[in-house]
Amino acid sequence: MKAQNKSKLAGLIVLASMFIALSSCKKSFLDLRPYTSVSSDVAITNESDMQAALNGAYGNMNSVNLYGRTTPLFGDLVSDNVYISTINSNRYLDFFQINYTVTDANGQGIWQSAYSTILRANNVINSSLQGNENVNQLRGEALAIRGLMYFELVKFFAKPYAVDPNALGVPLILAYDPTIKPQRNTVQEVYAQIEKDFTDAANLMTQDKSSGFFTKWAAKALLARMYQFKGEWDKALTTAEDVINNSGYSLLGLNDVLSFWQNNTDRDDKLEVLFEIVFDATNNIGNSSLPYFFDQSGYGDALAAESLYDLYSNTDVRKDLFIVGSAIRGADVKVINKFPNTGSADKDEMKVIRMSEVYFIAAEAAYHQNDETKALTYLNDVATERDPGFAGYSSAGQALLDDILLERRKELAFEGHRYWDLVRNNLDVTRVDLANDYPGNVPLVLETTNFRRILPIPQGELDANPNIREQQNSGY
Amino acid sequence: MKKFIFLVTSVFSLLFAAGQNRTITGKVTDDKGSPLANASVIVKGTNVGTSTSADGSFSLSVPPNASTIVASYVGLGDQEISLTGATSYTINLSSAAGTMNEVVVVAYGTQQRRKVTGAISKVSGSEVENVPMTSVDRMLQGKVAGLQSVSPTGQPGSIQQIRIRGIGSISSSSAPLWVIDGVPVNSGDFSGATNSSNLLAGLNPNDIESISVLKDAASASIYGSRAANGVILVTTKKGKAGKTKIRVDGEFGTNDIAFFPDLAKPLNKDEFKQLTTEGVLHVGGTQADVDAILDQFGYNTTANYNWLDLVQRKGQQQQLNVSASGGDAKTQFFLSGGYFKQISEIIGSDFKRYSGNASLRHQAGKRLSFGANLNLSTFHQEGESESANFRNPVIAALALLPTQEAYNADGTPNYDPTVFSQIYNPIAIRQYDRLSNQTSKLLGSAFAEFNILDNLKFTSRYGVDYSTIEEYNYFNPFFGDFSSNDPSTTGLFYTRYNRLFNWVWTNLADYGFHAWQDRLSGHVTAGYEAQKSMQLTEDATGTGLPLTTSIIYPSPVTPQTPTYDGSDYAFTSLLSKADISFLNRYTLSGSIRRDGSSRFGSDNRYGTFWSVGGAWNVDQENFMQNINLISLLKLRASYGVNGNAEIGNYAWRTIYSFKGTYNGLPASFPQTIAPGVTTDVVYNDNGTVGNADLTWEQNEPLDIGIEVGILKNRITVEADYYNRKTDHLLLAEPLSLTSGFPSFSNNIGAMVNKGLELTIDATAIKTKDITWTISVNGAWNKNEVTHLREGQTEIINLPYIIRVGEDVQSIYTRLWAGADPQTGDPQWYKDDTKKEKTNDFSQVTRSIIGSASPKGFGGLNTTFTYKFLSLDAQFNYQYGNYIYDQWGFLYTGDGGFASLNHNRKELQRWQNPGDITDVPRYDFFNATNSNAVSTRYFYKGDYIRLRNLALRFEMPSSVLKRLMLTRLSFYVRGTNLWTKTFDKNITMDPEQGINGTNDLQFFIPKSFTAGVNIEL
Repeated sequence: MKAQNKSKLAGLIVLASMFIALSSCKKSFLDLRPYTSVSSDVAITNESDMQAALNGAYGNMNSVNLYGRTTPLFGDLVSDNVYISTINSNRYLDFFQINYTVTDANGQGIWQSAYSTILRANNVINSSLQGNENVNQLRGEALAIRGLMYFELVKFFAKPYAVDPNALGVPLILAYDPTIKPQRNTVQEVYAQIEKDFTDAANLMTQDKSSGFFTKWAAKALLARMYQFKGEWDKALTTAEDVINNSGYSLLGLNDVLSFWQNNTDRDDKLEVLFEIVFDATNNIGNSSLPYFFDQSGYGDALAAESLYDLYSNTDVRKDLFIVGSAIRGADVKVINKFPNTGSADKDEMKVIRMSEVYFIAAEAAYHQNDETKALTYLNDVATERDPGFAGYSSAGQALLDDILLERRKELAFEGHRYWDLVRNNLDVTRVDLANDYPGNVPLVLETTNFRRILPIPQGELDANPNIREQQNSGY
Repeated sequence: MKKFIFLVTSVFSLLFAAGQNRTITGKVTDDKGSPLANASVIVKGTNVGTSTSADGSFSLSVPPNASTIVASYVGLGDQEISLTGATSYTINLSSAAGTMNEVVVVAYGTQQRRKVTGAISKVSGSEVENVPMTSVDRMLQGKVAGLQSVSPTGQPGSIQQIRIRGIGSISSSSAPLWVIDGVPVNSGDFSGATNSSNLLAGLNPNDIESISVLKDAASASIYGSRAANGVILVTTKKGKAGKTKIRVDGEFGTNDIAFFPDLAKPLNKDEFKQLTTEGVLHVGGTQADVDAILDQFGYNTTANYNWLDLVQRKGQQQQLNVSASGGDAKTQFFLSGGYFKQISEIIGSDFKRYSGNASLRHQAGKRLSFGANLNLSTFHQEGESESANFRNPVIAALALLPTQEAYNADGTPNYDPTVFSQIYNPIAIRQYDRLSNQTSKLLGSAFAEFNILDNLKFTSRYGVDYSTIEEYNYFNPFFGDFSSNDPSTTGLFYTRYNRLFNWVWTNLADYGFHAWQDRLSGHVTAGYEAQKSMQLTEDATGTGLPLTTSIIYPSPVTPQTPTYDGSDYAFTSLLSKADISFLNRYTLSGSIRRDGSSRFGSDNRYGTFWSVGGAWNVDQENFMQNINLISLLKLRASYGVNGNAEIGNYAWRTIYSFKGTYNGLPASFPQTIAPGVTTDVVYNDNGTVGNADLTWEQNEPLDIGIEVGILKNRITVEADYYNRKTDHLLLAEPLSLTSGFPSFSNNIGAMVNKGLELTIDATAIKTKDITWTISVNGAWNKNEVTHLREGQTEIINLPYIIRVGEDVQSIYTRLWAGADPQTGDPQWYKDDTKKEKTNDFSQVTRSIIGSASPKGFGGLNTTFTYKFLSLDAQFNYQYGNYIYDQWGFLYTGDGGFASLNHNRKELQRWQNPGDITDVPRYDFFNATNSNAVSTRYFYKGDYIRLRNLALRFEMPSSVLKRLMLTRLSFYVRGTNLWTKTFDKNITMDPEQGINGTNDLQFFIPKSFTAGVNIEL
């Protein structure tokens, strides 16, 4: 019996020590934190955090949905610059066939990626950091990014300002609020916000940076583009001329054209490009990029329209930005070689705005301000620097406007501008001679009256947001 | 601290090992009088006991107040003997004593079946031995009522999907918890770069002694927040005292495709040419256009291949298992080694496993015993990535044109980019690229048991579940997605290392008691458990590879930044369970567990889970003693609450990720959603918007069961009705995309699974020479979503819909009405009234047409034995579900994807006015939307499959004696030999993953094997 008592005692000691040991387990045992992230409330607490968060906003614009591929491609594919080869990976056929619906993933992609970029920009803009030059610069860059995203959104999802400024635009979201279920603002309201963002951005930014980041002048150049879309030609002209005369950025000259397009890094020399999205060896989208979509060693689905190629004279240096013939798609097809670095680790940057476009904006604005001489000057400043055999335009009236649009088409091809030139001028898209042997099934005209001139509000938004359901673009 | 406790335990055990009791001896035999080694003999209501030695004898020191001893043997049940003054007893354990005396493995212990209050199904180890499948989960198919086990792919070593009593979650995992020798393990797919890979494939099924499937609250709730989808307890083989047994099992065989209908096979050269010609003319092209296009497609060459044949080969199957076990009354051991190889019939898809198992147990004195189990394995898996991607050789083979030249003149695979511009030659990929996965696993535990008092036992067990997954991808520098003309970026080499270290420390005190001359007895168990799992992932990539494929680890010209990540979780738990039995007739049980987990939001970190259960052994009542027909009658019921904690390790946190760069600088951003995750699936380790309230999904299962045996248990029937109410289901609340976030996770949904399970076991014939047994099981589950978020009635995730009042896997699609007989245009019904057809796609609405979940499924097992021969057959069946041909839009795309091959179903296309057919006109680059998702791509998933057919010859004992063997048997086995489908238009194997979507992953194999079992 004695032994038994002892063993009872022993048992109790064992149990007691066990429970003491275990209950002393620290509370932190259950507080496990992720390895590659921090809590959002402490994410932006100093300047370097702010820079990192801003870089996150820049980095989002290299999405396949934005400048990575979809937005620039749309501008050339839903117009007359580019077509999809019969041998294709089935990408963007609904764009090419002008047959997109509310469930189109590319359309939803633009919407989603633009707004997630806006979220990232908003967090930087609204961060509590205040005051000094650096903080102002970073906040200014974020404002410019936000302005740019709203500009893209209002282009794709709303009627052109010139057609109806009171039409439904896109919802304006200016602060972090995951629960928001917004209605659409009007086109006019969205444009007002874009103007404010670009203006504020230009006022806040004071630093020189490489072309991979926003600067005061890039924001002003985009502001000029916005006035052009609005048709506020006086402001478009003064803003564009401000950039041309005061920015210190130089126009791309004839001898630099080929090396300019071969270059795959951002620039510090203020040559031509005001802002571009950087795709470097670490941060790029590989096979999902637009250049890979053109490259015949890549997908190679998209080829240049014959009619576009024929616009360049034989002395035009830009003709060297094409390769004639593809091993897969035939000896005559015109392959786009404007972005030749798909095989390199460091990929091509995608241009957002460059000086040549600013000159065109100035030319077009001057034309509408009835200063045709000035218009011709700005137009020829670019045109004669591309073709040594070309003496320059000398047209007048409507012909001059047509020449400006023609030169825009040639200079800005494959950078996503063509469709918007037609849309903001309320012109039909007319496809002429895309390729010699292209079989049917592709509409040759997209009239101004067609509801597919703009994209539908995507299904994902309609599903999540009851307040926008009744505001779908008509026709969808 | 851990060391300290072990030390204390050991010291006290040494001090108090001696006792002052009387000693009894005896012998335990089976019903034929043969001695049973390692049978357990314990003093009733205590933990004082011993095991019999090889000759069945035992010697036991019993306390002076002991009145009854219980002898038991796994599989035979137990028997109680009242102690008299005698010192020697002979105990006869007979199987006829009934299944009710059988001892089954339950959560945190074992229990006599009679006293089990919950729904537990047992699968014995012999049922999963020597089966030509890579992991044990595949072998559970059709064996347990209510357990649905399906393969989404036939890739050897890939995951198997198991659902117990229906789908219990919408967006978290619905997979059961696996507990191996007391250790809750990490299971599932942790591969990231190669194939689907199953961690359980590291466990050699031949090392398994028994499996218990816990299906209801009473049996499973003690696992708390991880019990909601059922628990599968695996017990590995242990040594038994007695003569050393040596066993050798070997088999080899072949693999082939189990089922792939002709309609799904690719068109030949002429057929494709014919369709293309029609297609171009239909869209206004001329014959000249046709010729130009065919020329572009390579029709000017002489090549003519059936690519599906080219990507196949003769599959192989092989395994060899050797084991030794034995020991004496104090020390028992088990050692085994295994080799398993499966070479799939699809090129480049292989699996090889080497495994070893060691188990040791030692009794040190009367009160202390300790031991360890160690399971080591490594498997190598090879095969193309199967995801929806043209690298998958099956997908490629169906899309490549017969005119694409597969080989160069010298017989090497052709990879000329002008011939293989969109889809690479899968044979060349096989030759030049490599994708492999080497998973190594250590699964082990060490334990000590200390009988503090005769009826109070303390057990401490420390278990480790350690896995490393090394993945290796090599993309050659010559052709393919990763080749380029720039030597610094051509080719890609990628390795991924994944380490999972999961430890569990369990401490239990178990107290047994009895009173009133044993009329009342019971057990109380209480304990504490802590667990932590830590995952580390390292990725390294480099491009610019040397122009040779013979270097395994090339030195890349352009190494890319390696990335590191981790993902951890931890649980701390207090647990207790108790049962009390009266007169062997009435048992009440209860359990309670309090779980805290790092996965639960900071505002909701701890939860309590419980169960109550009762069992009434009616057959033990006095009034039943004269009813001879009924030999067994037991009623049981249970109810409780448990949870599903598979909600993502960090999903509740609101976080900014720093996993990015821009222009050479670090970049941070709000984590919106993990890459590749769609908005309706929120199983997301990286958090979304965050939710501090986020917590486990809650499950409240009710179970009512009856077990009946008639004719001396010659026929036994077990039936269960269950009603599982699940709420707090995690759902993605879609957010307006304008917020920048697609969705956030919240505990908002609810659903119910109700169902019936039935198992009938019968011995149809039992004579001296012939035995014929039949076992049938079936389960009928009805799922209904009862709540989504406030104001929301449905979540559309086409082609599926989650709608309140409907099955969680409802299919929501357009109703196809075939081709317009006049024009060949596609036609749909406008709505599900089917009154009006239209060819205007925009007028077509969707409706629910059925579910991907079967109405019923189960299995039939039968064994016929005549003298030395036995024939064993197992059928599986499933009915009432629809399966979806996800690739129909392409392979039966009516000219969509015109430059790719189509399947033979396309031959049924409309050609002339008046044609009545389901397949519309073939248009080159089809723009009619005919290949948009509609009922045309859904098929009835009903099937019966002969899962297993084995013929075995057992060498008679007379011969064995001469050969000095204990057992010698030979067998031939066929797996998946025969499949019966019930939809004549079906374009795939009817056995698909849980969601019934055919992703053209590798084929489920049909195997023929022959083998031998030898025991010394």
